Amino acid sequence: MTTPKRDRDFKLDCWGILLLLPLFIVPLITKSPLLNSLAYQSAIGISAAVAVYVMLRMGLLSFTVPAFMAIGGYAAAMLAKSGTTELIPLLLIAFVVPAITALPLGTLVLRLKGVYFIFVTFIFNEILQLVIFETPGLTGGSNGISGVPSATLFGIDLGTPQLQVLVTVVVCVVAALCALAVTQRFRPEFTSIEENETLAESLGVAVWKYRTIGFSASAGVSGLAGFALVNVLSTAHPSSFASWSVNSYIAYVFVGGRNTILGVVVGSLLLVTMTNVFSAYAHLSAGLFGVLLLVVMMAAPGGLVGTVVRRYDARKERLRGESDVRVGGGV
Amino acid sequence: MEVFISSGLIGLSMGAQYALISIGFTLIFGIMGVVNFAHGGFYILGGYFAFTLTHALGVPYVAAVLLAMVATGILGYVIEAVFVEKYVVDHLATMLITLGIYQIMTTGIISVYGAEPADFRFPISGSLRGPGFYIPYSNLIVFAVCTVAIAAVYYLVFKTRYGISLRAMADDGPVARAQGIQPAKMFPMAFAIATALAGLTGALVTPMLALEPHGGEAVLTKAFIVVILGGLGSVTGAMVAAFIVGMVEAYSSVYLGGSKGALALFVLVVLILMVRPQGLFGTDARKA
Amino acid sequence: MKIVKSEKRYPLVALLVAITTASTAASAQDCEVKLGAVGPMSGSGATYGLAIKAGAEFAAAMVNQDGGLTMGSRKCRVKVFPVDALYTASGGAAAANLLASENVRVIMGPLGSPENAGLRPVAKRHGQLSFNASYMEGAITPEFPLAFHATQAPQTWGPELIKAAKVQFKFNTAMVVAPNDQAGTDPGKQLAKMYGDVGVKTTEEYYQRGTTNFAPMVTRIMNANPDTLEMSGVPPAEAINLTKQLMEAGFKGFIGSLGGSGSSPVLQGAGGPEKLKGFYWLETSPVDHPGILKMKADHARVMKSAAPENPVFAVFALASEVTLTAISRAGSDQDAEKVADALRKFNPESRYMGKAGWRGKTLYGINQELTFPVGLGMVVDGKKLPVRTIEIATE
Repeated sequence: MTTPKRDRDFKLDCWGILLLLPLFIVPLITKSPLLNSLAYQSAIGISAAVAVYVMLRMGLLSFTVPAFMAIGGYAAAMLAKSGTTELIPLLLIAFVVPAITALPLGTLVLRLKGVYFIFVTFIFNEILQLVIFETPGLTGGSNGISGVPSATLFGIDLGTPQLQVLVTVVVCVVAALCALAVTQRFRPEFTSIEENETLAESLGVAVWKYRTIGFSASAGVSGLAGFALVNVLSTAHPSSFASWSVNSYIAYVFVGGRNTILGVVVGSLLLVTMTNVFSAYAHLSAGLFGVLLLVVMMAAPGGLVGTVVRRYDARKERLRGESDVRVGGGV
Repeated sequence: MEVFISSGLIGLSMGAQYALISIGFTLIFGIMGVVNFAHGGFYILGGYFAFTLTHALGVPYVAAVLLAMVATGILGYVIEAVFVEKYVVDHLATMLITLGIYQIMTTGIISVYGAEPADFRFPISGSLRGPGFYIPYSNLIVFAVCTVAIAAVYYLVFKTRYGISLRAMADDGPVARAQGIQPAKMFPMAFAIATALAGLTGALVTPMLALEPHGGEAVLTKAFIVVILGGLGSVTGAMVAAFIVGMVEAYSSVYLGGSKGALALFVLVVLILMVRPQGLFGTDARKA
Repeated sequence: MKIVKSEKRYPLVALLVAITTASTAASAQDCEVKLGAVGPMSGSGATYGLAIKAGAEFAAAMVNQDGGLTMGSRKCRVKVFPVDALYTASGGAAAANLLASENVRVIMGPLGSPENAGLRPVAKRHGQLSFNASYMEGAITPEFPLAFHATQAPQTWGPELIKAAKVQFKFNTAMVVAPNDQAGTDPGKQLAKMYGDVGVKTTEEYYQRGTTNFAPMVTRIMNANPDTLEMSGVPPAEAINLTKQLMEAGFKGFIGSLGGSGSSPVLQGAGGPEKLKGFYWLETSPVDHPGILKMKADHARVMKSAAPENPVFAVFALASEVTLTAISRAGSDQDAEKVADALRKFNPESRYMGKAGWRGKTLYGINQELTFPVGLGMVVDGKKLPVRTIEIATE
């Protein structure tokens, strides 16, 4: 990967984070229930999708996102219900508990390759759902934990609808920044693992170490997404973390463009909005989503952002070729 | 003791059903690298095709099953050629494409048949009873058909030239291409065979169990587990794993109850994968 | 006083008539009563959500065929806004927000307990009234004064129905079977307790949701050999599956379905009532009641299609009818407080089921549960008895 491309991708990542700013403004300037609802749903979607993105940078598609969302969300819910509602401790626990859980799990699971990894992570999610069901004393079982108090900041209650949306956007920005930090700091190592693992190892890259860092970071970011969801619903419910919900987050990443955070943000905004639009069409909603997926993946397999970038590159190549011809040969 | 025998028989019969549906799934992955999220959709479509043929058109059940198999095969061929073929190299894109197709299939089924379960019954009822155990005749018949179908697939994949070409493509694509094997011709056919198997399973099994638009999801989950345990791309692996999963599920559900039984099954699969990360019969590292 | 000459009068009159008719027509067109319908409309719970939608649309159509709902001095068309809530808490919350953005303040539904958990805090914030059909404990509570209950939970009719069944079938042991999610545990736990209360030794068996093959479960059941098997929380397709395999195994006990699926899954799975030794079930609305029969006939006539099988349809057809009357009395579909007040103040009444009332104070702390009667159906020794109407006491 050449340096100009790396710089360009970093710029696009930053643009992705900047694109989150309008989400901040929405709850501040409007009381519209739809816009606020789309804002918080997008924020949560982006947080979860960005966790998928971190793993993708290593060439791994992880189905664990809902499971770590559940771990982070439930941990924060338990903490909030036991009295600590301050936002910062909640954020910390929502990140740290899944991140730590990811470590032993990682040693077991990260030796698996490719699609094996996907499927085992899927099974892990199923196991977690069953554990939740079998432990009603701790997790509320199938009913979940309800009546979770809203977060507070230095004593100020963040429970009004506008403030709750604001909190989810803040969590989203934190999650995206974490993802940016990890993927940029370890970009060379992640990329070498993604492109050719054996070669990377032979060059001295401690693959297992970086894989674990990525896995743990992805888990922490998922935990933040889970906390955001629990906070806005005031409920930690198992139905929020169903295994197949991961398909939505994967779709956000791929439809937007899997190579940059900008792609993740664009994809999430588009698909969250469209899901809400489709839900008004009763039993057709799933089918419409399917059609949208199909159309975008076939027309723009690199995702929307990816395709635009490719076209831009192709155009630049063409223009450069033309100008070479004009100059008279290309020196 | 009877419970032990009954559980074993149930496990075998479930194993045969899982095998039939998983072989198709693993074939598609092994040869094309495509994770077919619509596999459950073909299964349930097979059921609905057979149901329509027997109930609306009065076609005898056996013919309906065969026609349903052919229909899902043709549908699979068309879907592969039109939607999947161009993107076959991009494994993750095809995952999402087949996911989209699955959603469209279920919505289509609800639009045509409604959301209520369809009244589809197996033509033969009653059970073979022995001392303390029983096997429904339907299970026996389905078991027999599954065995024949699996044997046919084996023959196709291991003994025919076509099958050898398929396996060559799976083992080493570039070399196979260099030998003159053309993926564009093979892939739709391979996909069609797999979806025909899924449709056949659906047409056979849904009258015994239940036929409703969302029946495909649970089937896909099972296929995932079987295929991952057996080793992606390995037909033998899918077969062996299917029986293991069937037996474990049967015994654990009977003795531990459904919920704890499912937990036991998942944990067992994960443990086996810890020891053997490529699955029981899988070859190392098919990079996704 | 100048008298307008007759030749000039007629055109004036004609013009006046034209203007008046135009304005009344315009006002009937430009006023709309908005009714939301929320429930699972995709995924395995789709039959329920679509039945809620059908119930609301039917009630709307019956009112619209008379020109609309009387709102003060004019008639307004009723429009139904369906939203798929996906059987999740987030789906319920999103549905409430979506409807609020369309200014829909009166919602029929949701159905699922997770949906209800997600929807009602949001609905409270937006001032929306909801009519849920969830079985969760605390389906309605004083904390959410705008939440009403369209049907009763097992805790309400359970004791009476179980007692009647026990008198008929004389069972002493029971097993409650349900999937391992909230849709299963809500009725499962309540019923297990109630069976126990009348002296029936009861165990609870939760199976993995999405189970396709119930043969192992059936073996487990046959091994435990309960006198009666209660299948309340089992969704329709799985109930068909389970019953089929129970029959194959030669299950000799009774079957109970005191929950939302009604009788058709078990009857379909068994292959007809003749195959059942004893079967008792809850009719969420008494299916043989002349009122319900008339409702279904009206549906066929007005909607040009058969009413959905799912018992939830009748529940919401009744609840929607009652709600529309309340909206009419309140004179507003936007002020949920006014509509709620109208609901509480008058005794709910339906052209199909006559007068009903409210209850819920003892169980939930708030008297906002409709008391339209339910039904107890029974098959005894292969013969289907007429459905017994069970009146629900008001409070």
